[in-house]
Amino acid sequence: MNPEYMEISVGEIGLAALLILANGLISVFLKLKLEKQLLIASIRMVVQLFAIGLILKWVFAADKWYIVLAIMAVMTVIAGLAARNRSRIRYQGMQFDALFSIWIPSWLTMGIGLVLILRIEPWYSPQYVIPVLGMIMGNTLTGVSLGLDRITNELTQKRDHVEMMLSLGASGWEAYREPAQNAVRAGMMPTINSMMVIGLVSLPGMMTGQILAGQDPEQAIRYQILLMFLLTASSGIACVLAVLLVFRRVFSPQNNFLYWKLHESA
Amino acid sequence: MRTLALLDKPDSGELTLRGRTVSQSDSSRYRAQVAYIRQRPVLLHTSVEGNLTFPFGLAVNRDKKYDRQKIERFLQAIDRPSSFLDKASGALSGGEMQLVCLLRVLQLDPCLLLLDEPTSALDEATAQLVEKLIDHWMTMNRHESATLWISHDEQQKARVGERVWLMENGHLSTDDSEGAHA
Repeated sequence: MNPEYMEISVGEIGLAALLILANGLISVFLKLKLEKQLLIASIRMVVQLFAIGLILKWVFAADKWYIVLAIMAVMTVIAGLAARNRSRIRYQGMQFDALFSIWIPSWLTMGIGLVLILRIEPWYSPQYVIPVLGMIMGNTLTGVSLGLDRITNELTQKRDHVEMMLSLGASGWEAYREPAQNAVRAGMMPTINSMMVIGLVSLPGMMTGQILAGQDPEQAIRYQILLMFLLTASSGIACVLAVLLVFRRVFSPQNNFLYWKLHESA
Repeated sequence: MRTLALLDKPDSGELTLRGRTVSQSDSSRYRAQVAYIRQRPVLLHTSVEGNLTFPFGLAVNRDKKYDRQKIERFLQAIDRPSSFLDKASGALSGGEMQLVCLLRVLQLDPCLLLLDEPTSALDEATAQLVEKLIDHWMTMNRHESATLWISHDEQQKARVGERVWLMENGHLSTDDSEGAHA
């Protein structure tokens, strides 16, 4: 590695943990009742990161395509579960829809980015595949969960509106279009916002990481730009896909609005 | 009522319109011909005229055109100036909203008008305007269209009904000898 690179020891991490202790004291002092959550979150963060560190170390050493594929699959399933859980209103088959609409676009854009554009060799190089898929998927997950939450809410709250349109002879699709547009917009908003302020307000994590590791900033920003395009494309496709899948669930081919399929989660 | 409007599926049996069985696949066309007015009016957040032109943007009404003169004749019948069309739907009273809902479907000349207690939330004066508007439309159409009106108001039933069916504990009875086929 680069000679300028500073290694961190466990003792130094412990020193940083003292800062969290200050947060805890403030919480106790102001009766915010956050100290317990703060403690649990901190411990989870440390344990989860150490665990993933161990796994990554092992995966990098093994360097086998099937292990990388298995990790990708696990990441996808976790993202799919998380995307559905955000929504207060559920329907039968939502789990599948969430999983499917995250899976296809994120794997597709990752494939395009790494294999067609960067042309990494071999295609499963874990050093590229795992972090890039992770970043794409994190963003896609946010988009899909916001989109699903919005569409199910709109359909529940605007049921009168949808039925009014159907009564006037609108097709299911015509009645669905406006809520669908709102949902895709809601899903895309965080990604678009983050592109707007990137570099001005926030320095993205990957780029910061590369710079810290001693990479040329010029190369670091090029990677970041590529990644932003990949994750924006993935979110966009995923939101549209999710909204289309919902349409298939809540409108019958005879243009009936099957509102009873949407129910609040227990 | 919701079943007749084809919003819900019938538990059993089938719907016929002018002697033809309504298959579920031409639901949009059927719904455009059988207008459904509910108790609570639903309008788009735009002007009155925006609400009235909106059905013409739907695929089923592709070959129909918005006729402003026709609307103005309707407005005369209910004593509203044509500036009424520029009002925002949010600024309307409940009664006016219901009138706009009616105008929106009446301009399309449906062959059956389903009215699900359209005046139950309205004051007496506005309720009469609703009746007047429907009556005006029926006259214009030379009574070629039918209305099916659900009401809890005895006087209203006497005013608007030609035939009265009574729904009691899930049984439908009629005041004349002909069988009910609603």
